[in-house]
Amino acid sequence: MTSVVVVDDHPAVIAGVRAWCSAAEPPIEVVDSGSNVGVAWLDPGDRADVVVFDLQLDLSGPAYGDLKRLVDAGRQVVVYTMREDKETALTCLDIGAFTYLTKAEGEDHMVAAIQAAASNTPYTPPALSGALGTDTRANRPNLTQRQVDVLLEWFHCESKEMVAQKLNLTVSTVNGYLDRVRVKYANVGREAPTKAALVARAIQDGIISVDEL
Amino acid sequence: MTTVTTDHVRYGEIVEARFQREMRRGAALIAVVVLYGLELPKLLGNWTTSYQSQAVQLAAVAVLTFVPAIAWQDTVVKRWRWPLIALVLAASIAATITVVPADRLGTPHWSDEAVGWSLILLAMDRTLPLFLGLLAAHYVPAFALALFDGPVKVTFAGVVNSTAITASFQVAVVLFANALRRVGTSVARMGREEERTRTLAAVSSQLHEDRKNRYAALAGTTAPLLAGLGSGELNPGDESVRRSCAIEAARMRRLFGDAGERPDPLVDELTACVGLAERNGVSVRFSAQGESRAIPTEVRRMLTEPAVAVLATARGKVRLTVVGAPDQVTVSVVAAAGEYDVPEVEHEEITTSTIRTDGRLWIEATWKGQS
Repeated sequence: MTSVVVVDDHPAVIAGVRAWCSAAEPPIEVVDSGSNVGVAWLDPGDRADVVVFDLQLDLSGPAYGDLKRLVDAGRQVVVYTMREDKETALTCLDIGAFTYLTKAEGEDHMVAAIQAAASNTPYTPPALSGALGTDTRANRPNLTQRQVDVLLEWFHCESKEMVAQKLNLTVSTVNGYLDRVRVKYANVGREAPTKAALVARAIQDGIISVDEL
Repeated sequence: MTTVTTDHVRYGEIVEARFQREMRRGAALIAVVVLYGLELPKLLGNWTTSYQSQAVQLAAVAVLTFVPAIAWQDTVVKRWRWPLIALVLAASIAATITVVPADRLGTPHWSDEAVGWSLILLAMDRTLPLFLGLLAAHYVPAFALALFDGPVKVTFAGVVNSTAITASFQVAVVLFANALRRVGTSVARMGREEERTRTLAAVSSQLHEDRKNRYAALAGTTAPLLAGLGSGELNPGDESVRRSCAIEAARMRRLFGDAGERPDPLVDELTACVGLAERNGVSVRFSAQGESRAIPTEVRRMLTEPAVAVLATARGKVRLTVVGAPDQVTVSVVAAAGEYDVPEVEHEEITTSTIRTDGRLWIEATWKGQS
C-alpha cells in the first residue's frame, strides 16, 4: 500500500488529505503528519513513499531549503501550497519536486498525484500546467507549439476531455503531451535522484525516447 | 502613487542638472567679461604695433565670443564638445602665431589669458586631467615660440604673472566644478532614496488599508457563517451552507494570496465580476498566469464579455482563467452547462470557442493583436 506523510501547518488541511487518502482506491496510508518538516525525517514518516509538503510553513517565505533536502534524500515530494504564482511553481520543479499542487486543486488531484509519485509516472495538475505553458525563462526546455497549447488549455478548463475535443485529439494523446513536457522539464532540472527516476521510468514506458531529450 | 514615482525620478535629474547648468552659465559670463573687459583693451591698445595680422586677431576674438555665446547650454556642449575644443585651440594657435615674436607672452598677447575661460566652459563637466591637457595644448605652442622664435621682451616674473596665476585660477574653477558635481550627485542620490522610502511607505500603508478593508468585508460574511456553524444554527450537511462555506473559503484564499502590487486592469475587472458572482452564491476559482499585457480598453471589454455573461447567471462551481502570452491573451470560463445569454463577440482580433462536454460549458476568448 502506498504510504504518505503530510507536512502542513493547518490541521484542517491534514484532516482533508487524510480523508481523501482513506477514500482512495486503492487506499493510501497516512503514516504521520505534522506542522514541521521533521515528521518527514523521523520514524514513521521517514518510511513514507511520498511527502505531501506545504511550502509556506511560517512567515519566512517558501521553504525551498527543506524541499531541496528532501529531494536530495531521494524523497518523492508533492508540493501542496497556497501559492499560485508561476515563479514558485517553476522553482519547486527546478529543485526537484515531483509535482506542484495548489490548495484549490487538492480535492481533484491529490490522490492521483500521490499515486503517480509513488510509481514515478509524470503528473501535471492544471496550475502547474499553466506555469509551464507560460514559462519564458531562458533555460526552459524547448516545447513545440502544440505542447504549449495543450498545457494552456488544460490549465484553462481542467478537463482532458474538453482539451481533446477542442484540439481534435484523444484524451490519451493529451496525456502524452503533458507527460512528455513534464519529462523534458525533469531532464533539464537540477541533478536529483527523483528526477533520474522520473526520466528513466518515462523512457521505459515509452513516453519519450532518448533522442527527444 | 504614479505621480510620486515620476516626481522622484525628475527630482534626481533636476538636482544633478541644475548645478551643472548654473555653473556653465556662470563660466560663460566670466569668459565674455574677461574677453571684453580685460583682454580687448590690450588688443586695441597695441593694435598697430604688435600683430602680424589684425584680421586673425579679430577672428580669434570672434571665436572666443562665439563659443561662450552658444556653449552656455548643456545640450550644445554635449553634442559639439570636440569640434568646439578644436576651434578654440585653432584660434589660440593662430592668435599666438600672429603676435610679433617680441611681444609673445607679454601684455599684447591677450589671447594667452582669454582662451582658458572658453576651455573651462567646454571641459568643466569632465575630469581635471582633460582640462590640464587642453591648457597644455594652449600654452605649450606659445612657450615654444617664445623660446625658439624669440627673444621676448617679457621677463620671467612677467610670464609667471600673466600665465601661472591665470592658469591656476582656471584650474581652481574646474576643481570647484568637479567638487560641486560630486555634491550634486550625492544630493540627488539621497533625494532619490528619500523619495523611494516615502513611496514605499505610501504604498504599504495603502496596501495595509486595502487589506484592512477586505478583512472588514470578510468579517461581515465569514464571521456570521462561522458563528452559525459554531452555535449549531447552521447545518454543515445542508447544501446551501456548504456552498456558503466554499464561497467564503474562496474569498479568503484570494485575500491571502493577493500580492496587490501588480495593477492589471484585465485581472482587476474580472476580480470585480468574481465578487459579484460570489454574492449570487457561485463558487469561482480564478487563476491568472503569464505576463500582464497592456490591452486596449475596447478589446479588454470584448474579451471579458463572455466570461462576465457566464458569471452573471452561473450556478455552482465556475473556473475562470486568464493567460497572457507574448503574442496573445486568453480569457476562459468553465461552468455548469445551462442557459446563458452569451453575447457574440464581433472583433477581428478576437476569436472565441465554445465546447460542451459532460454537462459543462467552456467558453474561451483569445485576443491576438498588437498592444
